[in-house]
Amino acid sequence: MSIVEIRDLSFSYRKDGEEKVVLDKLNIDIEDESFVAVIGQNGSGKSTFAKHLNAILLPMGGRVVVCGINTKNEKELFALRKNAGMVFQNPDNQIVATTVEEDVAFGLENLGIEYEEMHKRVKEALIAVNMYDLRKRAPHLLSGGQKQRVAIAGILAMEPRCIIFDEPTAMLDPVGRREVMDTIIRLNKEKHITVIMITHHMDEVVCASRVIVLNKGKIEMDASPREVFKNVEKLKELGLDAPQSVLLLHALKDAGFDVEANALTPEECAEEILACLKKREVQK
Amino acid sequence: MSNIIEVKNLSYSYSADNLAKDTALVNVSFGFEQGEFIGIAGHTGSGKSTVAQILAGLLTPSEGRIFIDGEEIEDYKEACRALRRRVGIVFQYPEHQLFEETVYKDIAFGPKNKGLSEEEIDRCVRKSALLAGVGEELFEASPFELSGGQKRRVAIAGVLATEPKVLILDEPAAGLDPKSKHRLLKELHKIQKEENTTIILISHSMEDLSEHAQRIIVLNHGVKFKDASPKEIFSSQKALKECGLEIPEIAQVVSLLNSGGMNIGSDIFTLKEAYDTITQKLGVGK
Repeated sequence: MSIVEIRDLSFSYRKDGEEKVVLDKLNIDIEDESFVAVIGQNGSGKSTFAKHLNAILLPMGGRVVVCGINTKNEKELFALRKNAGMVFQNPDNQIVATTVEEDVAFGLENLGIEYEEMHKRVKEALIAVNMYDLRKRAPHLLSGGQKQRVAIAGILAMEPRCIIFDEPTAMLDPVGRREVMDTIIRLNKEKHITVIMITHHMDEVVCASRVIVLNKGKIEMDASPREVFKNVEKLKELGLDAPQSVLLLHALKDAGFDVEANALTPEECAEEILACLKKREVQK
Repeated sequence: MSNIIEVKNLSYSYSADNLAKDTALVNVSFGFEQGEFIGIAGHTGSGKSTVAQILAGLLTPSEGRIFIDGEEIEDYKEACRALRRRVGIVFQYPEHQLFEETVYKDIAFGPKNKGLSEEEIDRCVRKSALLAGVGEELFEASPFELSGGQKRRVAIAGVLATEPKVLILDEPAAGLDPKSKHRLLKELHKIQKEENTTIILISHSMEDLSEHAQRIIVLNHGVKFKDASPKEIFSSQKALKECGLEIPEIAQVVSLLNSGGMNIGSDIFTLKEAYDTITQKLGVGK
């Protein structure tokens, strides 16, 4: 079943009397419970696309239906945003309260959820992102990764079916990145939340089951990470890159070595090279 | 060659009473020469930004000695002024600091404040725009109409226009796509080479640092953990992880190859080195 249905989505703006097309008749269906990464160079339309998913922007042409709700249906705006939450780049801009648990409760209070229920949901959300022990902490005393996880808990407490992440790790250090990525993967696997994640980090793309590559407002590639990273040359043309393990295997393959260039992780890459070494030793 | 800037036993604490929990920097010493490319790495809260601000003369240390061109400047106020004259700093997301009507005016802001003549200002603007990769066709555009990568280059050009001897950049590639990132890092090398500017690159990305810096200073909870070449830094992977840093992906592959019996040495961490060593080990390709 599709949780996101996009038909002929177009979006543009005027600059110096000229029409600048940002999204050009996009058609995308996203399966419920899937993990989709969206990549593309700056200006490819990624963020504009993401903002259409929970009606921060409305289509100029075509339509966007998320969780069965057309984003143009103003009456259903609350229901839409409850079902499709969004986490942004900068955690500092998303935190409003003076303690972690109050921050997570903020959205629920606005929905008028009963106290008992609210308590239960805040607790569950904080446990899900591994922040329950720090629930009484003031947000400004948290690390970047912790703040970002609190922001995720705030969305989670609304019990969404789908979360859209717009470069959630861009401002974090390696430890923070790891914490946030582990959390996102777990929400997808264990809580069956659909994840749509925009990122510039090619090693994060590997975690997704599907990658959509945007270029100039159009879909340039749409396949599994393994398929997408087979086209290293094309990715580079599009201003993108591939994980270093992928690049290393491609270079070896291009030099004529007997390796399959379809590994994604350091482990798979090392395995492939060791297998090649073995084959050569046998030949000798 | 002698150090153009050197700091000895530098400490910084947020409160006057020196409580351990308020201390951002403890007893840190290092120096650098003209024209070096140095990386500073560390987890969030490791003291990276505090060091940067002290070096740029924006923050007065709580304790420590500051040497400029080999001479100690004891008065901190005077030291800060001297540092500000030599060091330019590009903060995180510098495009948020663009404010003028046109790109040209924005880049010209620094030299103009220095009281240079129109001609001198023009020379500075054109030169730093060229160095930072800002095309002259953008001079009359509003900085706010530019793409993310362009905006960032304009912001860097603005700092270069003050002709600093040392350029500090705090996570200059955050939020840029891979192509813009590579381009930006290449431009930093150009600045280092053509102007003999010292580049201090602060980054979380050990991959970027290992590829570009000649020397990396690793900070951990306000203490200098290491100051060494990338090779040396990455030879102790376990210690790096304990400092909250990542190991470059290639170094991970190499260590897996070694434990799988390939024996190619543990000090390889860039794609090119790995490729060269592995092809040698495998023998000539078909």
